[in-house]
Amino acid sequence: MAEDLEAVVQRVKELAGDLPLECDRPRPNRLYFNVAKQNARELGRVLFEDFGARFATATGSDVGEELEVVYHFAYDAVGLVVNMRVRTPKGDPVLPSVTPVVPAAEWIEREMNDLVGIVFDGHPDPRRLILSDDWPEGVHPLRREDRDGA
Amino acid sequence: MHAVAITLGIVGTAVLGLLFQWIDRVVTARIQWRKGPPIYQPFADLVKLLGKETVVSERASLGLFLLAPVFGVIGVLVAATILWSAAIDPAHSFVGDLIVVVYFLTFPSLVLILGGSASGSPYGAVGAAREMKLVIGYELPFILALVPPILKADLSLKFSAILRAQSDGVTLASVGGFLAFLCVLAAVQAKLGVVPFDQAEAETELTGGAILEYSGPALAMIRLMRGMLLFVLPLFVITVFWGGVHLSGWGWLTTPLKFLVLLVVIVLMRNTAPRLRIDQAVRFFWFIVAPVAVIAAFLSIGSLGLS
Amino acid sequence: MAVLDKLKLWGLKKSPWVYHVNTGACNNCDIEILELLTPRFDVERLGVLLAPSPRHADALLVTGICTRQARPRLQEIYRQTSQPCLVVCIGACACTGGIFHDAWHFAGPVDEAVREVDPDAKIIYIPGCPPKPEALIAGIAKALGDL
Repeated sequence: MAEDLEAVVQRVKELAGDLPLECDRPRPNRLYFNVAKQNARELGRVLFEDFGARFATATGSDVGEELEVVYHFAYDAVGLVVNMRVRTPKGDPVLPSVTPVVPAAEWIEREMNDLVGIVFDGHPDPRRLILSDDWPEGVHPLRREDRDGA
Repeated sequence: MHAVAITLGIVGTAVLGLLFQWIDRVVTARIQWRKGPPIYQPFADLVKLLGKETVVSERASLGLFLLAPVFGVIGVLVAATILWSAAIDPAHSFVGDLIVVVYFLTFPSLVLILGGSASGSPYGAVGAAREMKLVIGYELPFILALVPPILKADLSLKFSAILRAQSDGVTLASVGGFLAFLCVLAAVQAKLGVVPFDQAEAETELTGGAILEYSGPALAMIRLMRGMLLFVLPLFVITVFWGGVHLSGWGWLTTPLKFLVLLVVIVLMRNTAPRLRIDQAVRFFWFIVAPVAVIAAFLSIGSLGLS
Repeated sequence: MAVLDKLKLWGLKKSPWVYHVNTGACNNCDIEILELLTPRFDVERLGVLLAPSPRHADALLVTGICTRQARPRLQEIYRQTSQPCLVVCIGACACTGGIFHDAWHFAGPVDEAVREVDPDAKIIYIPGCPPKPEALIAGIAKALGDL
């Protein structure tokens, strides 16, 4: 497993070229690439098209001062999930959308918009997805301050 | 006298219909390794439905929607009356009663078509459209397949003649007659609206289709009509193909057995076949059943000479 | 007429057709309901049939916490069901909200949503997470016996 992990890291770094990447390996079978938000779409494209991983889902969370999105790409050839982590401060909750390069991310980004309040710049269809029509604007249930709902 | 006989006939048809519905449910359950409901279950279903409220959608055409089940019940009852009188008193039948029975037996399909279209629901509309296509599919081979018994009875349409002609050998004993019997069985399956021909109701696709919007007494009428049809159609098939109902001597044993055989064949087909798509069903009737019926008719021309 | 009323009640007890409504459940209770129709438990013995539409139903089997979006729809389904009908709250979520009682999407337990439409609604509760099929059968049989 460890050799596979290292091989994957090498390959992705190779394909990403000059893109500044930080690689995080907290456990032998966990791999995170931390990337600055302006490079997120490009790394998403590299992982999806050049590297050939399959987009599984994404996770949005409120980690205190910042909002974090982790995109999970499944690399089925070795059975490893390659994660791409992007952060943005709560005061400026805008991230570039990866939907233009990974079409499957469309709905999960809408859901993260509803629940965590992250605005995805460049998203083709930023409508409300899962909150009910009479839910007030600006209240995002998965943010720590809005935990108790509307 | 006639009034009493007719009332008994109506009640008898209803009771036997409910009993046949129960047999259907129990045989289905046993095939699925279950136990099945108790014998009074179809009766309990009917009583319960009669006590419920009839909810009608705002978009439904009220009159047609509520009258359609009544037409169906009337149709089955008239057909039943004619068949009962042919069974009990074969000497008295009026000219053309085969045609009259076939005509009245189309009423139940009309219930689905009219009721479904009048229900104001898109499911009902699709169910009604499918039933229309199905009727176009099976009516022709059904009528073609009735030619051998008519030929055997020397071109007479009276039930008395058909039954008399079978005294020397039932219609299905000959090759043509047997092929026609098979065609009629397929058409009966479609008339009853059971799998593989239940496209109008289509539980898993149309969630009830043509009868979806019915509730309360209207639904009770439709279920009663279906139950009575489950009795009347085998009665019709036995009268025309299998020598008729004999309530004397060995007849007390063979007649219920004939009914049971037909019922079990219907229920087995219902439980083992998948539902056909509507175009597959129509193609089945036009290109397989209809040619077989025509061949059966030709093979039966030979029996015209005998009488 | 007392005889007719008794007959009506007998019919309802012996032939309860159920319609399943999921108002935001995790599907566990829904799977347990499905199991009732399988050969092992076979509720058709009790006359229970799965109805394709609320118009044909005598009992609404409601699972889930009744989310904000599901609430008006649950009420509409109750209005469309032909009376008399029973509402069966299946599982801890439908009975009280369960562990999701304080969650942001909770819109009142099922019985409050139904009582808003019909204060005299007959509601029975079968708790469990999920309730075993035996518990479901016992609950339904007990409710029918008490009708």
